[in-house]
Amino acid sequence: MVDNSLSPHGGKLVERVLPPAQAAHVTHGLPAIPIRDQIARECLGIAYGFFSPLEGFLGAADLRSVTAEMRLANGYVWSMPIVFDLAEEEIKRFGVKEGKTVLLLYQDQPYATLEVEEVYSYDKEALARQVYGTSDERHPGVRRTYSYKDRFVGGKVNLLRPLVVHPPFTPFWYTPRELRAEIARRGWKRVVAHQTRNVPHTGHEWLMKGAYFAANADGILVSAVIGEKRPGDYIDEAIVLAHDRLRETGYFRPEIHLTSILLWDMRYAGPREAVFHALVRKNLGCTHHMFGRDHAGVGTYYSPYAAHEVFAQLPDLGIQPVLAREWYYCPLCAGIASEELCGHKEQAQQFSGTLIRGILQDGVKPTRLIFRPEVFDVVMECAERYGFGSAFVAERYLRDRNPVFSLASKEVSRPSP
Amino acid sequence: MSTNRPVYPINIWINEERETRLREAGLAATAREVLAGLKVISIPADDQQKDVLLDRFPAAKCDTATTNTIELLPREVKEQLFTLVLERRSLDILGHFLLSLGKQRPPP
Repeated sequence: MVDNSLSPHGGKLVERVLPPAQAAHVTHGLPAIPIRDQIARECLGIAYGFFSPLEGFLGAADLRSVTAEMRLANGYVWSMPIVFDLAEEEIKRFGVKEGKTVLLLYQDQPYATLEVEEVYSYDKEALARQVYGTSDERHPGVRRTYSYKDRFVGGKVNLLRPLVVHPPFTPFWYTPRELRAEIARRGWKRVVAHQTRNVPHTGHEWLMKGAYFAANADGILVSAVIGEKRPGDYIDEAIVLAHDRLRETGYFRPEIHLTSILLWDMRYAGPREAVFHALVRKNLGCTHHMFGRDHAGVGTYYSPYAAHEVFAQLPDLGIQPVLAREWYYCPLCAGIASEELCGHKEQAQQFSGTLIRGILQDGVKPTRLIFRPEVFDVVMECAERYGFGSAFVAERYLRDRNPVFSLASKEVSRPSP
Repeated sequence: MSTNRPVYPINIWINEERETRLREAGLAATAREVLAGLKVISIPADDQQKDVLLDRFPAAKCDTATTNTIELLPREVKEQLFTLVLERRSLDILGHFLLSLGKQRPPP
Protein backbone atom coordinates (compact mmCIF):
# COMPACT_ATOMS: atom_id res chain seq x y z
CA MET A 1 0.00 0.00 0.00
CA VAL A 2 1.19 3.50 -0.77
CA ASP A 3 2.22 5.20 2.43
CA ASN A 4 0.68 8.60 2.93
CA SER A 5 0.86 10.66 6.05
CA LEU A 6 -2.60 9.32 6.85
CA SER A 7 -3.58 5.72 6.68
CA PRO A 8 -7.04 4.79 5.42
CA HIS A 9 -9.83 4.93 7.96
CA GLY A 10 -9.61 1.80 10.07
CA GLY A 11 -5.93 1.36 9.22
CA LYS A 12 -6.35 -0.70 6.06
CA LEU A 13 -7.77 0.07 2.66
CA VAL A 14 -10.65 -2.30 2.00
CA GLU A 15 -10.54 -3.83 -1.48
CA ARG A 16 -13.13 -6.39 -2.42
CA VAL A 17 -12.93 -6.70 -6.19
CA LEU A 18 -12.64 -10.35 -7.11
CA PRO A 19 -9.99 -11.42 -9.60
CA PRO A 20 -11.60 -12.36 -12.93
CA ALA A 21 -10.79 -16.05 -12.60
CA GLN A 22 -12.47 -16.24 -9.22
CA ALA A 23 -15.38 -14.01 -10.25
CA ALA A 24 -16.22 -16.35 -13.11
CA HIS A 25 -16.89 -19.21 -10.71
CA VAL A 26 -18.58 -17.74 -7.65
CA THR A 27 -21.91 -16.92 -9.24
CA HIS A 28 -23.07 -20.42 -10.17
CA GLY A 29 -26.42 -21.27 -8.67
CA LEU A 30 -26.79 -18.05 -6.72
CA PRO A 31 -30.15 -16.32 -6.56
CA ALA A 32 -29.88 -13.11 -8.60
CA ILE A 33 -31.31 -9.86 -7.25
CA PRO A 34 -31.53 -6.77 -9.47
CA ILE A 35 -30.31 -3.59 -7.76
CA ARG A 36 -30.92 0.08 -8.40
CA ASP A 37 -28.34 2.75 -9.20
CA GLN A 38 -27.86 3.88 -5.59
CA ILE A 39 -27.00 0.39 -4.38
CA ALA A 40 -24.69 -0.15 -7.35
CA ARG A 41 -22.77 3.03 -6.51
CA GLU A 42 -22.54 1.99 -2.87
CA CYS A 43 -21.22 -1.44 -3.83
CA LEU A 44 -18.42 0.40 -5.64
CA GLY A 45 -17.84 2.61 -2.61
CA ILE A 46 -17.42 -0.46 -0.46
CA ALA A 47 -15.49 -2.67 -2.87
CA TYR A 48 -12.88 -0.09 -3.87
CA GLY A 49 -12.40 1.14 -0.32
CA PHE A 50 -13.93 4.60 -0.56
CA PHE A 51 -15.96 3.54 2.49
CA SER A 52 -13.12 1.80 4.39
CA PRO A 53 -13.40 0.25 6.94
CA LEU A 54 -16.81 -0.95 5.72
CA GLU A 55 -16.61 -4.30 3.99
CA GLY A 56 -20.30 -4.49 3.24
CA PHE A 57 -23.75 -3.18 4.06
CA LEU A 58 -24.33 -2.45 7.74
CA GLY A 59 -25.81 -5.00 10.12
CA ALA A 60 -28.20 -4.05 12.91
CA ALA A 61 -25.57 -3.46 15.62
CA ASP A 62 -23.52 -1.19 13.38
CA LEU A 63 -26.62 0.67 12.21
CA ARG A 64 -27.72 1.25 15.82
CA SER A 65 -24.29 2.48 16.76
CA VAL A 66 -23.91 4.69 13.67
CA THR A 67 -27.26 6.37 14.17
CA ALA A 68 -26.86 6.83 17.93
CA GLU A 69 -23.13 7.49 18.31
CA MET A 70 -21.81 8.26 14.82
CA ARG A 71 -19.52 5.27 15.27
CA LEU A 72 -19.42 1.70 14.08
CA ALA A 73 -19.86 -0.97 16.74
CA ASN A 74 -16.06 -1.40 16.73
CA GLY A 75 -15.62 2.26 17.70
CA TYR A 76 -14.47 3.76 14.41
CA VAL A 77 -16.16 7.01 13.49
CA TRP A 78 -18.86 6.48 10.85
CA SER A 79 -21.81 8.74 10.28
CA MET A 80 -23.97 7.59 7.36
CA PRO A 81 -25.99 4.38 7.19
CA ILE A 82 -24.88 2.32 4.19
CA VAL A 83 -27.72 -0.15 3.97
CA PHE A 84 -29.24 -2.57 1.50
CA ASP A 85 -33.02 -2.69 1.58
CA LEU A 86 -35.25 -5.47 0.34
CA ALA A 87 -38.97 -6.15 0.59
CA GLU A 88 -40.15 -9.09 2.68
CA GLU A 89 -41.53 -10.64 -0.48
CA GLU A 90 -38.13 -10.37 -2.20
CA ILE A 91 -36.41 -11.93 0.77
CA LYS A 92 -38.70 -14.93 0.46
CA ARG A 93 -38.59 -15.08 -3.33
CA PHE A 94 -34.80 -14.96 -3.53
CA GLY A 95 -34.26 -17.10 -0.45
CA VAL A 96 -32.17 -14.43 1.27
CA LYS A 97 -31.04 -15.72 4.64
CA GLU A 98 -28.08 -15.56 6.96
CA GLY A 99 -25.13 -17.61 5.77
CA LYS A 100 -26.24 -17.55 2.12
CA THR A 101 -24.60 -15.60 -0.68
CA VAL A 102 -26.69 -13.80 -3.29
CA LEU A 103 -25.77 -12.34 -6.63
CA LEU A 104 -26.53 -8.66 -7.28
CA LEU A 105 -27.46 -7.85 -10.86
CA TYR A 106 -26.88 -4.40 -12.29
CA GLN A 107 -27.66 -3.31 -15.82
CA ASP A 108 -28.87 -6.89 -16.14
CA GLN A 109 -25.36 -8.20 -15.58
CA PRO A 110 -23.74 -10.05 -12.68
CA TYR A 111 -22.24 -7.23 -10.66
CA ALA A 112 -21.45 -8.22 -7.09
CA THR A 113 -22.06 -10.86 -4.49
CA LEU A 114 -23.47 -10.18 -1.06
CA GLU A 115 -22.55 -12.59 1.74
CA VAL A 116 -25.67 -12.32 3.85
CA GLU A 117 -24.87 -12.01 7.54
CA GLU A 118 -28.11 -10.57 8.80
CA VAL A 119 -31.64 -9.72 7.72
CA TYR A 120 -33.36 -7.27 10.03
CA SER A 121 -36.17 -4.81 10.48
CA TYR A 122 -35.87 -1.15 11.35
CA ASP A 123 -38.01 1.86 12.13
CA LYS A 124 -37.95 4.27 9.17
CA GLU A 125 -39.07 7.31 11.08
CA ALA A 126 -36.60 6.77 13.92
CA LEU A 127 -33.82 6.25 11.38
CA ALA A 128 -34.73 9.46 9.56
CA ARG A 129 -34.85 11.42 12.78
CA GLN A 130 -31.49 10.17 13.99
CA VAL A 131 -29.68 10.70 10.73
CA TYR A 132 -31.32 13.86 9.46
CA GLY A 133 -32.61 15.40 12.68
CA THR A 134 -36.10 15.54 11.18
CA SER A 135 -38.84 13.27 9.93
CA ASP A 136 -40.08 15.91 7.50
CA GLU A 137 -40.68 14.25 4.14
CA ARG A 138 -39.69 17.42 2.31
CA HIS A 139 -36.09 16.67 3.30
CA PRO A 140 -34.62 14.69 0.37
CA GLY A 141 -32.70 12.34 2.68
CA VAL A 142 -35.80 11.63 4.73
CA ARG A 143 -37.76 11.01 1.55
CA ARG A 144 -35.10 8.56 0.44
CA THR A 145 -35.26 6.78 3.81
CA TYR A 146 -39.04 6.49 3.61
CA SER A 147 -38.72 5.00 0.13
CA TYR A 148 -36.58 2.13 1.43
CA LYS A 149 -38.18 -1.30 1.51
CA ASP A 150 -39.08 -2.92 4.82
CA ARG A 151 -35.98 -4.95 5.66
CA PHE A 152 -32.25 -4.38 5.62
CA VAL A 153 -29.72 -7.03 4.64
CA GLY A 154 -26.27 -6.74 6.16
CA GLY A 155 -23.19 -8.49 4.81
CA LYS A 156 -19.94 -8.29 2.90
CA VAL A 157 -19.86 -7.23 -0.74
CA ASN A 158 -17.55 -8.53 -3.47
CA LEU A 159 -17.45 -6.73 -6.80
CA LEU A 160 -17.31 -9.16 -9.71
CA ARG A 161 -15.85 -6.92 -12.37
CA PRO A 162 -14.24 -3.53 -12.63
CA LEU A 163 -16.24 -0.72 -14.14
CA VAL A 164 -15.62 1.29 -17.28
CA VAL A 165 -15.95 5.02 -16.75
CA HIS A 166 -17.02 6.84 -19.88
CA PRO A 167 -15.78 10.15 -21.31
CA PRO A 168 -15.59 12.89 -20.31
CA PHE A 169 -15.23 11.42 -16.80
CA THR A 170 -12.52 8.87 -17.62
CA PRO A 171 -9.47 10.92 -16.59
CA PHE A 172 -11.12 11.94 -13.33
CA TRP A 173 -11.94 8.47 -12.01
CA TYR A 174 -9.51 7.18 -9.44
CA THR A 175 -10.04 4.36 -6.98
CA PRO A 176 -8.60 5.11 -3.53
CA ARG A 177 -5.59 2.93 -4.33
CA GLU A 178 -5.01 4.78 -7.61
CA LEU A 179 -5.50 8.18 -6.08
CA ARG A 180 -3.12 7.43 -3.24
CA ALA A 181 -0.56 6.34 -5.82
CA GLU A 182 -1.11 9.55 -7.80
CA ILE A 183 -0.71 11.65 -4.66
CA ALA A 184 2.52 9.84 -3.86
CA ARG A 185 3.74 10.30 -7.45
CA ARG A 186 3.16 14.02 -7.14
CA GLY A 187 5.02 14.09 -3.86
CA TRP A 188 2.10 15.64 -2.02
CA LYS A 189 2.30 15.20 1.74
CA ARG A 190 -0.51 17.50 2.74
CA VAL A 191 -3.62 17.39 0.58
CA VAL A 192 -6.78 19.39 1.17
CA ALA A 193 -10.06 18.13 -0.25
CA HIS A 194 -12.72 20.35 -1.77
CA GLN A 195 -16.13 18.71 -2.00
CA THR A 196 -18.26 20.00 -4.83
CA ARG A 197 -21.56 19.70 -6.67
CA ASN A 198 -21.19 23.08 -8.36
CA VAL A 199 -19.39 24.70 -11.21
CA PRO A 200 -16.85 27.00 -9.58
CA HIS A 201 -17.30 30.73 -9.31
CA THR A 202 -14.53 32.82 -7.83
CA GLY A 203 -15.99 32.42 -4.34
CA HIS A 204 -15.34 28.68 -4.64
CA GLU A 205 -11.92 29.39 -6.11
CA TRP A 206 -10.98 31.47 -3.10
CA LEU A 207 -12.41 28.91 -0.70
CA MET A 208 -9.95 26.43 -2.22
CA LYS A 209 -7.08 28.87 -2.18
CA GLY A 210 -7.82 29.83 1.42
CA ALA A 211 -7.94 26.15 2.40
CA TYR A 212 -4.66 25.51 0.61
CA PHE A 213 -2.95 28.15 2.72
CA ALA A 214 -4.75 27.19 5.93
CA ALA A 215 -3.64 23.59 5.52
CA ASN A 216 -0.16 24.57 4.36
CA ALA A 217 -0.96 22.06 1.65
CA ASP A 218 1.01 20.68 -1.27
CA GLY A 219 -2.11 19.97 -3.28
CA ILE A 220 -5.84 20.51 -3.63
CA LEU A 221 -8.08 17.57 -4.47
CA VAL A 222 -11.37 18.62 -6.03
CA SER A 223 -13.70 15.73 -5.33
CA ALA A 224 -16.86 16.11 -7.38
CA VAL A 225 -19.85 14.12 -6.23
CA ILE A 226 -21.48 12.32 -9.13
CA GLY A 227 -24.72 10.55 -8.34
CA GLU A 228 -28.46 10.81 -8.56
CA LYS A 229 -29.41 14.10 -10.14
CA ARG A 230 -32.39 16.30 -9.53
CA PRO A 231 -33.89 18.76 -12.00
CA GLY A 232 -32.10 22.06 -11.66
CA ASP A 233 -28.77 20.56 -10.53
CA TYR A 234 -25.72 21.34 -12.62
CA ILE A 235 -25.05 18.60 -15.14
CA ASP A 236 -22.18 16.36 -14.03
CA GLU A 237 -20.05 17.06 -17.08
CA ALA A 238 -20.10 20.82 -16.45
CA ILE A 239 -19.10 20.40 -12.80
CA VAL A 240 -16.09 18.24 -13.51
CA LEU A 241 -14.83 19.98 -16.66
CA ALA A 242 -15.31 23.45 -15.18
CA HIS A 243 -13.16 22.59 -12.17
CA ASP A 244 -10.50 21.11 -14.38
CA ARG A 245 -10.60 24.23 -16.57
CA LEU A 246 -9.37 26.25 -13.58
CA ARG A 247 -6.22 24.14 -13.69
CA GLU A 248 -5.93 24.15 -17.47
CA THR A 249 -6.12 27.93 -17.59
CA GLY A 250 -3.72 28.61 -14.75
CA TYR A 251 -5.97 29.79 -11.95
CA PHE A 252 -4.34 26.88 -10.14
CA ARG A 253 -0.93 25.61 -11.11
CA PRO A 254 -1.21 22.06 -12.46
CA GLU A 255 1.30 20.94 -9.85
CA ILE A 256 -1.11 21.71 -7.02
CA HIS A 257 -4.56 20.87 -8.39
CA LEU A 258 -6.30 17.60 -9.23
CA THR A 259 -9.95 16.95 -10.06
CA SER A 260 -11.56 13.60 -9.33
CA ILE A 261 -15.05 12.14 -9.09
CA LEU A 262 -16.83 10.37 -6.26
CA LEU A 263 -19.84 8.22 -7.07
CA TRP A 264 -22.30 8.95 -4.30
CA ASP A 265 -25.92 10.00 -3.97
CA MET A 266 -26.04 13.08 -1.79
CA ARG A 267 -28.24 12.69 1.28
CA TYR A 268 -28.11 16.37 2.36
CA ALA A 269 -27.51 15.22 5.93
CA GLY A 270 -25.60 18.38 6.89
CA PRO A 271 -23.10 17.67 9.68
CA ARG A 272 -23.38 13.89 9.41
CA GLU A 273 -22.68 14.01 5.73
CA ALA A 274 -19.76 16.35 6.36
CA VAL A 275 -18.22 13.66 8.57
CA PHE A 276 -18.84 11.08 5.86
CA HIS A 277 -17.20 13.31 3.25
CA ALA A 278 -14.19 13.71 5.52
CA LEU A 279 -13.80 9.95 5.95
CA VAL A 280 -14.12 9.20 2.25
CA ARG A 281 -11.49 11.81 1.39
CA LYS A 282 -9.27 10.44 4.14
CA ASN A 283 -9.51 7.12 2.34
CA LEU A 284 -8.53 8.88 -0.88
CA GLY A 285 -5.32 10.06 0.79
CA CYS A 286 -6.25 13.58 1.88
CA THR A 287 -4.88 15.01 5.09
CA HIS A 288 -7.31 17.94 5.27
CA HIS A 289 -10.87 18.66 4.18
CA MET A 290 -12.35 22.09 3.68
CA PHE A 291 -15.85 22.78 4.96
CA GLY A 292 -17.63 26.00 4.11
CA ARG A 293 -21.03 27.40 4.92
CA ASP A 294 -24.01 25.05 4.71
CA HIS A 295 -21.92 22.02 3.87
CA ALA A 296 -24.20 19.23 2.56
CA GLY A 297 -27.22 21.07 3.90
CA VAL A 298 -30.61 21.66 2.39
CA GLY A 299 -33.32 24.20 3.17
CA THR A 300 -33.14 25.39 6.77
CA TYR A 301 -32.79 22.01 8.49
CA TYR A 302 -29.27 22.76 9.75
CA SER A 303 -27.62 25.91 10.99
CA PRO A 304 -25.19 27.37 8.42
CA TYR A 305 -22.14 26.19 10.36
CA ALA A 306 -23.53 22.94 11.80
CA ALA A 307 -20.93 21.05 9.82
CA HIS A 308 -18.18 23.04 11.54
CA GLU A 309 -19.47 22.29 15.00
CA VAL A 310 -19.74 18.53 14.57
CA PHE A 311 -15.99 18.01 14.34
CA ALA A 312 -15.43 19.13 17.92
CA GLN A 313 -17.09 15.84 19.00
CA LEU A 314 -14.77 13.74 16.84
CA PRO A 315 -11.14 14.23 17.84
CA ASP A 316 -10.20 10.81 16.41
CA LEU A 317 -11.47 11.50 12.90
CA GLY A 318 -7.99 11.20 11.44
CA ILE A 319 -8.34 13.99 8.88
CA GLN A 320 -8.05 17.66 9.72
CA PRO A 321 -11.10 19.81 8.97
CA VAL A 322 -10.35 23.25 7.54
CA LEU A 323 -13.27 25.42 8.56
CA ALA A 324 -13.90 28.26 6.15
CA ARG A 325 -16.23 31.19 6.57
CA GLU A 326 -17.84 33.03 3.70
CA TRP A 327 -16.10 34.65 0.77
CA TYR A 328 -17.93 37.42 -1.04
CA TYR A 329 -17.36 40.25 -3.48
CA CYS A 330 -16.49 43.47 -1.67
CA PRO A 331 -16.88 46.62 -3.79
CA LEU A 332 -14.60 48.55 -1.45
CA CYS A 333 -11.82 45.97 -1.49
CA ALA A 334 -12.61 45.65 -5.22
CA GLY A 335 -12.22 41.92 -5.11
CA ILE A 336 -13.16 38.67 -3.45
CA ALA A 337 -12.88 38.99 0.30
CA SER A 338 -13.26 36.72 3.30
CA GLU A 339 -15.56 37.76 6.09
CA GLU A 340 -12.72 36.78 8.43
CA LEU A 341 -10.52 39.52 6.96
CA CYS A 342 -12.69 42.17 5.36
CA GLY A 343 -14.18 44.95 7.46
CA HIS A 344 -16.84 45.96 4.94
CA LYS A 345 -19.34 43.17 5.60
CA GLU A 346 -22.25 45.57 5.29
CA GLN A 347 -21.17 46.24 1.68
CA ALA A 348 -20.73 42.57 0.84
CA GLN A 349 -22.23 41.24 -2.37
CA GLN A 350 -22.87 37.58 -1.68
CA PHE A 351 -22.36 34.69 -4.07
CA SER A 352 -25.76 33.08 -4.00
CA GLY A 353 -26.05 29.76 -5.81
CA THR A 354 -29.42 30.86 -7.14
CA LEU A 355 -27.94 34.06 -8.49
CA ILE A 356 -25.08 32.34 -10.27
CA ARG A 357 -27.42 29.75 -11.76
CA GLY A 358 -29.63 32.53 -13.08
CA ILE A 359 -26.67 34.19 -14.76
CA LEU A 360 -25.58 30.97 -16.42
CA GLN A 361 -29.10 30.11 -17.47
CA ASP A 362 -29.35 33.46 -19.23
CA GLY A 363 -26.02 32.80 -20.94
CA VAL A 364 -24.77 36.21 -19.86
CA LYS A 365 -21.01 36.22 -19.36
CA PRO A 366 -20.31 37.75 -15.96
CA THR A 367 -17.29 39.81 -15.05
CA ARG A 368 -14.17 37.73 -14.53
CA LEU A 369 -14.11 38.95 -10.95
CA ILE A 370 -16.93 36.57 -10.14
CA PHE A 371 -16.78 33.94 -12.85
CA ARG A 372 -13.75 33.06 -14.93
CA PRO A 373 -14.54 33.50 -18.64
CA GLU A 374 -12.83 30.21 -19.45
CA VAL A 375 -15.05 28.47 -16.93
CA PHE A 376 -18.12 30.17 -18.35
CA ASP A 377 -17.13 29.01 -21.83
CA VAL A 378 -16.68 25.40 -20.80
CA VAL A 379 -20.02 25.39 -18.98
CA MET A 380 -21.73 26.69 -22.12
CA GLU A 381 -19.90 24.07 -24.21
CA CYS A 382 -21.06 21.35 -21.82
CA ALA A 383 -24.63 22.63 -22.03
CA GLU A 384 -24.56 22.14 -25.79
CA ARG A 385 -22.55 18.96 -25.88
CA TYR A 386 -23.97 17.04 -22.93
CA GLY A 387 -26.93 18.93 -21.50
CA PHE A 388 -29.26 19.19 -24.49
CA GLY A 389 -28.80 22.96 -24.47
CA SER A 390 -28.78 23.53 -20.72
CA ALA A 391 -26.11 23.49 -18.03
CA PHE A 392 -28.82 22.31 -15.66
CA VAL A 393 -30.45 18.94 -15.32
CA ALA A 394 -33.78 18.67 -17.09
CA GLU A 395 -36.01 15.77 -17.93
CA ARG A 396 -34.21 14.99 -21.17
CA TYR A 397 -30.83 14.85 -19.47
CA LEU A 398 -32.21 12.44 -16.88
CA ARG A 399 -33.64 10.27 -19.63
CA ASP A 400 -31.03 10.41 -22.40
CA ARG A 401 -27.69 11.35 -20.90
CA ASN A 402 -24.66 9.14 -21.45
CA PRO A 403 -24.07 6.89 -18.46
CA VAL A 404 -21.12 7.79 -16.24
CA PHE A 405 -20.02 4.17 -16.13
CA SER A 406 -20.91 0.73 -17.33
CA LEU A 407 -19.62 -2.70 -16.53
CA ALA A 408 -16.49 -4.12 -18.04
CA SER A 409 -17.41 -6.58 -20.73
CA LYS A 410 -15.37 -9.48 -19.42
CA GLU A 411 -17.45 -12.57 -19.03
CA VAL A 412 -18.84 -13.50 -15.67
CA SER A 413 -21.17 -16.42 -15.99
CA ARG A 414 -24.85 -15.70 -15.68
CA PRO A 415 -26.72 -17.58 -12.99
CA SER A 416 -28.81 -20.53 -14.04
CA PRO A 417 -32.42 -19.51 -14.49
CA MET B 1 -50.03 44.62 -10.04
CA SER B 2 -51.13 44.86 -6.42
CA THR B 3 -48.27 45.50 -4.03
CA ASN B 4 -50.03 43.65 -1.22
CA ARG B 5 -49.68 40.24 -2.81
CA PRO B 6 -46.48 38.22 -2.88
CA VAL B 7 -44.18 39.09 -5.75
CA TYR B 8 -41.97 36.53 -7.45
CA PRO B 9 -39.30 38.33 -9.47
CA ILE B 10 -37.91 36.95 -12.71
CA ASN B 11 -34.33 38.19 -12.94
CA ILE B 12 -32.92 39.05 -16.34
CA TRP B 13 -29.17 39.57 -16.31
CA ILE B 14 -27.83 42.51 -18.21
CA ASN B 15 -24.71 42.24 -20.30
CA GLU B 16 -23.21 45.16 -22.22
CA GLU B 17 -25.39 44.66 -25.28
CA ARG B 18 -28.55 44.54 -23.20
CA GLU B 19 -27.44 47.55 -21.19
CA THR B 20 -27.09 49.58 -24.40
CA ARG B 21 -30.58 48.57 -25.50
CA LEU B 22 -32.00 49.45 -22.09
CA ARG B 23 -30.33 52.84 -22.23
CA GLU B 24 -31.71 53.51 -25.70
CA ALA B 25 -35.19 52.67 -24.42
CA GLY B 26 -34.75 55.08 -21.52
CA LEU B 27 -34.81 52.23 -19.03
CA ALA B 28 -31.23 52.32 -17.77
CA ALA B 29 -32.44 53.16 -14.27
CA THR B 30 -34.40 49.91 -14.02
CA ALA B 31 -31.17 47.90 -13.87
CA ARG B 32 -29.52 47.52 -10.49
CA GLU B 33 -26.04 46.26 -9.72
CA VAL B 34 -26.01 43.00 -7.83
CA LEU B 35 -22.58 41.44 -7.99
CA ALA B 36 -19.23 42.92 -9.02
CA GLY B 37 -20.76 45.30 -11.52
CA LEU B 38 -23.16 42.77 -13.00
CA LYS B 39 -26.64 44.24 -13.36
CA VAL B 40 -30.10 42.76 -13.38
CA ILE B 41 -33.68 43.81 -14.07
CA SER B 42 -36.48 42.08 -12.21
CA ILE B 43 -39.85 41.42 -13.83
CA PRO B 44 -42.52 40.90 -11.19
CA ALA B 45 -44.93 37.96 -11.24
CA ASP B 46 -47.87 37.46 -8.91
CA ASP B 47 -49.01 34.15 -7.48
CA GLN B 48 -51.25 33.24 -10.36
CA GLN B 49 -48.71 34.25 -13.00
CA LYS B 50 -46.02 32.26 -11.18
CA ASP B 51 -48.23 29.15 -11.24
CA VAL B 52 -48.98 29.54 -14.94
CA LEU B 53 -45.29 29.94 -15.74
CA LEU B 54 -44.26 26.90 -13.71
CA ASP B 55 -47.01 24.89 -15.34
CA ARG B 56 -46.02 25.99 -18.82
CA PHE B 57 -42.28 25.57 -18.26
CA PRO B 58 -41.87 22.53 -16.01
CA ALA B 59 -38.09 22.88 -15.75
CA ALA B 60 -38.51 26.28 -14.09
CA LYS B 61 -38.58 26.58 -10.32
CA CYS B 62 -39.59 29.11 -7.74
CA ASP B 63 -36.85 29.44 -5.14
CA THR B 64 -39.19 29.80 -2.19
CA ALA B 65 -36.43 28.94 0.30
CA THR B 66 -34.29 32.00 -0.29
CA THR B 67 -34.95 34.60 -2.96
CA ASN B 68 -38.57 33.90 -4.01
CA THR B 69 -37.33 34.32 -7.57
CA ILE B 70 -38.54 32.27 -10.52
CA GLU B 71 -35.50 30.47 -11.90
CA LEU B 72 -34.52 28.23 -14.78
CA LEU B 73 -36.89 29.64 -17.35
CA PRO B 74 -35.64 28.78 -20.84
CA ARG B 75 -33.20 31.30 -22.25
CA GLU B 76 -35.44 32.09 -25.21
CA VAL B 77 -38.27 32.95 -22.82
CA LYS B 78 -35.98 35.38 -21.03
CA GLU B 79 -35.11 36.92 -24.40
CA GLN B 80 -38.79 37.32 -25.21
CA LEU B 81 -39.41 38.93 -21.83
CA PHE B 82 -36.52 41.34 -22.34
CA THR B 83 -37.80 42.28 -25.81
CA LEU B 84 -41.24 42.96 -24.34
CA VAL B 85 -39.68 45.18 -21.67
CA LEU B 86 -38.05 47.26 -24.40
CA GLU B 87 -41.17 47.38 -26.55
CA ARG B 88 -43.47 48.41 -23.72
CA ARG B 89 -40.83 50.48 -21.86
CA SER B 90 -41.89 48.87 -18.60
CA LEU B 91 -40.99 45.95 -16.36
CA ASP B 92 -44.64 45.13 -15.80
CA ILE B 93 -45.02 43.01 -18.92
CA LEU B 94 -45.67 39.50 -17.70
CA GLY B 95 -49.41 39.70 -18.32
CA HIS B 96 -48.73 40.52 -21.96
CA PHE B 97 -46.26 37.69 -22.26
CA LEU B 98 -48.68 35.18 -20.78
CA LEU B 99 -51.45 36.47 -22.99
CA SER B 100 -49.23 35.81 -25.97
CA LEU B 101 -48.99 32.22 -24.75
CA GLY B 102 -52.76 32.07 -24.65
CA LYS B 103 -52.64 30.90 -21.06
CA GLN B 104 -53.48 33.81 -18.86
CA ARG B 105 -55.87 36.56 -18.03
CA PRO B 106 -55.67 39.76 -20.11
CA PRO B 107 -53.16 42.34 -18.95
CA PRO B 108 -54.38 45.23 -16.81
